[in-house]
Amino acid sequence: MPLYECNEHQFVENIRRLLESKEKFLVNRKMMLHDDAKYGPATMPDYEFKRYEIICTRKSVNSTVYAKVPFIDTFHHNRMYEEGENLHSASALLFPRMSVPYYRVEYSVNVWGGTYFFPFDALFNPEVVIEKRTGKRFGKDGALIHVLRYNPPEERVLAINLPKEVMVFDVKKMVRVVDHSSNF
Amino acid sequence: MQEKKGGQKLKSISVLVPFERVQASLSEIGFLLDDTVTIVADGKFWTKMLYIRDNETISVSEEIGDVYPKDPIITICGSKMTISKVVKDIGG
Repeated sequence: MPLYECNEHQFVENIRRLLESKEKFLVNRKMMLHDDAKYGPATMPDYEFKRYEIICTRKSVNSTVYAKVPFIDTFHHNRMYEEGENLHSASALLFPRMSVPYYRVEYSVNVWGGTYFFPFDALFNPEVVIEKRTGKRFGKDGALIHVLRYNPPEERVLAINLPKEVMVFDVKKMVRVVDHSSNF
Repeated sequence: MQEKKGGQKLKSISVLVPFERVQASLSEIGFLLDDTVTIVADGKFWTKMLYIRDNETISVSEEIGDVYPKDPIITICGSKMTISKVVKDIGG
């Protein structure tokens, strides 16, 4: 059962061709939350890094990223970062200390024994606010501190928009089956 | 409404035109930006923008940064007329 990877343009055009051929088919969609340190602030392009500039700084893409101010990351169990702390080292780009969660989205369609799929990762949207926090670190009266939140992207912007007659099934996992029938 | 929904067509275009031209074409025919998300596909970062007009949707994915060539991917799920207009405007 061959697997063919497509980009967005190819995947949508393949669906269009199937629709025009009146072939019956089903589109599967897998959407899973990941937080495996695949994405960190050092490797982001400048346009995306700008969204983090209130709390961190770097010289350029793939340079070490440091915390500009102390802040709390609410997504990762209120983890506290100190000012000047190394968040993503240039010498360890594959292992960021501050990681960005994302949805792994995979659209696939099975036709004539082959699977055609289009995978992509959608990064969570960062939001930085200043909040008053209390506790051991912040004293009895509490203190103001930057707080980083990650908001998941809306489903409608992750979806590939397809005509209503195309059925999309959500799946958890795609299990590849070895087809031995051609051997007999 | 059902008839209109059933009449939706699908088209994806990838052409070497500046995003500004795509945006101008979509604004001209009444599509409004609804939401954006940063995605990573093919090892590259993209901004995916969703435009909506009634029950028609157009998504535009543009690679982030100063890269060449820049060929935004435009995916239209809408009427034949909308598809023809966008294709004509951006030369797909």
